[in-house]
Amino acid sequence: MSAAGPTLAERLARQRWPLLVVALCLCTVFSVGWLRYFERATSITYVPTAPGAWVEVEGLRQRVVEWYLADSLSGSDDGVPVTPEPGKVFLVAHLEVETLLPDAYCGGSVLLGEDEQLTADLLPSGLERPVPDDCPESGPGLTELVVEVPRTRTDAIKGVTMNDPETGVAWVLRPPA
Amino acid sequence: MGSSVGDLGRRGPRVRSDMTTVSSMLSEAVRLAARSGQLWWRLWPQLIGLMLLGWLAYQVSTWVTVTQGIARPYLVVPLFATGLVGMLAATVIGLRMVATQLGVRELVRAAEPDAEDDDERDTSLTSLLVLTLLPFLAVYAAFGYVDDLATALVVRNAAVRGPFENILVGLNPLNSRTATIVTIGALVGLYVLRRVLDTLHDRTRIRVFGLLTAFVEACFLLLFLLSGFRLVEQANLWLSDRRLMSWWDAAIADLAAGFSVFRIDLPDVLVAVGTFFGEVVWPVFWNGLTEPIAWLAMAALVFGAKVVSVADLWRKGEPLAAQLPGARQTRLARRLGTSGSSSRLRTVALQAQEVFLGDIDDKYLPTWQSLRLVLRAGIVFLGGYVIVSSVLSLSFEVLDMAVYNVIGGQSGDVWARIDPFLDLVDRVLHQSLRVVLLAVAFTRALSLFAGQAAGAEQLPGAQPAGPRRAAGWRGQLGQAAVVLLLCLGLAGATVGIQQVEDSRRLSAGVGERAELMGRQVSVGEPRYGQVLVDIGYSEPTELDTTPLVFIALPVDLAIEGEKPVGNLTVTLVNGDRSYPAMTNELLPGESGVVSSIEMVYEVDPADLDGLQAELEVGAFITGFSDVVVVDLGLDRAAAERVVAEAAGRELTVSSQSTTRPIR
Repeated sequence: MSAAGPTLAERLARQRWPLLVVALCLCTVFSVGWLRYFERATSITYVPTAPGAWVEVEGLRQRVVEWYLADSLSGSDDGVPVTPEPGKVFLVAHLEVETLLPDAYCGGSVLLGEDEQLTADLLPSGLERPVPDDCPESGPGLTELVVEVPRTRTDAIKGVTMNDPETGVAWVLRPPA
Repeated sequence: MGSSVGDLGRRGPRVRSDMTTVSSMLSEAVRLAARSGQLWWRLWPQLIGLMLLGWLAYQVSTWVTVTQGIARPYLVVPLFATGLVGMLAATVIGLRMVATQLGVRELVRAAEPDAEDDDERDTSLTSLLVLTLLPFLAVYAAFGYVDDLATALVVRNAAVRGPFENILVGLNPLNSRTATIVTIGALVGLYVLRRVLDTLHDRTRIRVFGLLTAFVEACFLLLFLLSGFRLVEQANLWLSDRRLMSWWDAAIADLAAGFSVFRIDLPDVLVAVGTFFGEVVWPVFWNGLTEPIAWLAMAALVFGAKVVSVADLWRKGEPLAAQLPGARQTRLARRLGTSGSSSRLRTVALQAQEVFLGDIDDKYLPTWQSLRLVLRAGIVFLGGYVIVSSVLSLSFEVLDMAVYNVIGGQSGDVWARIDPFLDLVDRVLHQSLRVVLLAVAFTRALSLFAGQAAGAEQLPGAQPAGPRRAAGWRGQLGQAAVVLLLCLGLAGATVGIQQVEDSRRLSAGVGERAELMGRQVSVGEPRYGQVLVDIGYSEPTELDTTPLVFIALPVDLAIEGEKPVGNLTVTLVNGDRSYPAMTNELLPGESGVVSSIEMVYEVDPADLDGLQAELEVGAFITGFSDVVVVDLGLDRAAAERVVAEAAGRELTVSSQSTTRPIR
């Protein structure tokens, strides 16, 4: 035995349970914390906002100015209007946008019902629309968001969502009444 | 006890000695396994407790990295390092603890009563950590575990934060000139800081400095592995661009041209040999054989440099070149003293050499010595140890697969959530067993050496081990070959298991509904033709004609509950040839409805016999998932019939998917 007395390793070898109990307690605390955190971090909470209100998230401010349903979109170069898939109708939303930081993604998805998000559709390129569908590089501008919605569910349209990845909240925007 | 190798040399003809080698190896393996099991049973609460704490350190550090890493990329390396050091500390303490139970110290002291006692620095935990950390990390990195940890971090981060933010991107030094300068600066700075802390720890013996040294060392190594290697890669790329490399390439091409005279396609031959070596032989060799030996050498380090040096002396090998750690001052003084004249320049030069290369004497030399020691413990012992180690690894691979199969195929986010708990099997249970095995194995090696030393002293007119070995060299070679084959076999089995599928295959028939990770899928009767007509939006348009065969496969996708993550893909497969769908490749599906679509494929008629449809879910992050395999029921005769009937026939498909409510 070294003159310094029993070393840590020797003491550990003699006492069976204290370390295991401590370890199990700490690991339980961790497990609960991790599961809670993962749940919160990967789920989205939808928070409705006042109609026409401005919402700011990570370098971008948006609000919905107006929206309407359309059976077809005009503006293609051969004059033939673009139609949605059978059984669906276009939801056209116009958003007022202010870009505060470069590379911010404007627009968003459309919330249908409780938790279904419909993403914006890729329209044929070369489609000339009165309101562009891209985001201003900086400062204010107008943008258009087009989504195909099943005809049978147009009454379930809740609004345009803006995701805030930091807090896991998705703000739901609506146009002024 | 006593040396088994010497005994074997005396016993008889080569064949019998080979069999005896195998049987002694196996009995050695059984003995090691039994002793390890015994010891583990005696110490399992402490071992599991220790490994749990190590696991906890790693998981917590990963968690914090995930929450903070994107906003503050400079935190990634220190956090990662904390987790690694925590895991390592648990392993080292565990090894020490088992060593005390095995009475290693008493063994050494009994055999060498006049050997000096270890000074406190050698036995204190923090010193041990500093001493063993870099070699441990190096072994960890060499066998790919650091890569695994980094990947796990990236995946976990992607699962929580979404796929667009790779947490390690911030560490890429090639991002910008600033990044390169910062990385190089950080590497140099960490190295200097570590030397400073190490010297402080030496002089003042304050524990905290020791811990900090270990931590800074881990940061340095990680930063090099995660960032620095890219600079090395870049340097390589730069070099290959230079004229020198193109000259080299041209020379190789000329050589190949010369060989073509003999009809040997040199590059192809090289490629084939290289591939076989690289993909088959090397992994087996590296993982199966080298890894257990490397860990055994690490264990030797933990047992203490003092033990290693004494054991080395027992072997009557060359004396250990390295001195005890902490003797740095004396070594330096000795160098200065014996050099005769000691000019100022020389003093400074020696001091500098000490600062920068002192590592070599302190860490690398002991590591090297312990590796050599382990390798000379005898083929029987080594073979037995490698067998036990391989069986242990194999068993845990099998256990892992069993756990996956029990849980079943799940989407990627489920796996990301339970990943920390799946880790428990490997990092806690497996690691605790491995620690015990290492301790038992090294103690066995020590006692073999002690027995050799004792035996050699007791035999009157004892021959030194050398000549006897030389006489039986052919027998030795035969033994070695047998042992190698046995170990390679086991190692091969381990590596083979590691290449298992990452999915669970479920079969279904045509028209039969199957459950696929929260969805109900079914595949209908296929239709065949050679002229593809799409009824599409308005009028039928002829799309394509093919000399092969078009197949239209109706697929139904029903989602009863909540819509799960990912899209359905259907691929036609025969052996290792696969055909993705030509149009409508992904089917997302909607909750509460049955989506139907016809997927179209262009298939070689030769592949119709035995064609299968594989239905999978694709998402950004996937883990162990389910795959539904539907055999289309085409045998040779049916395939020929299909080809005959499809000749020139029109195949009308609709590119639209239709939905109807479930029931």
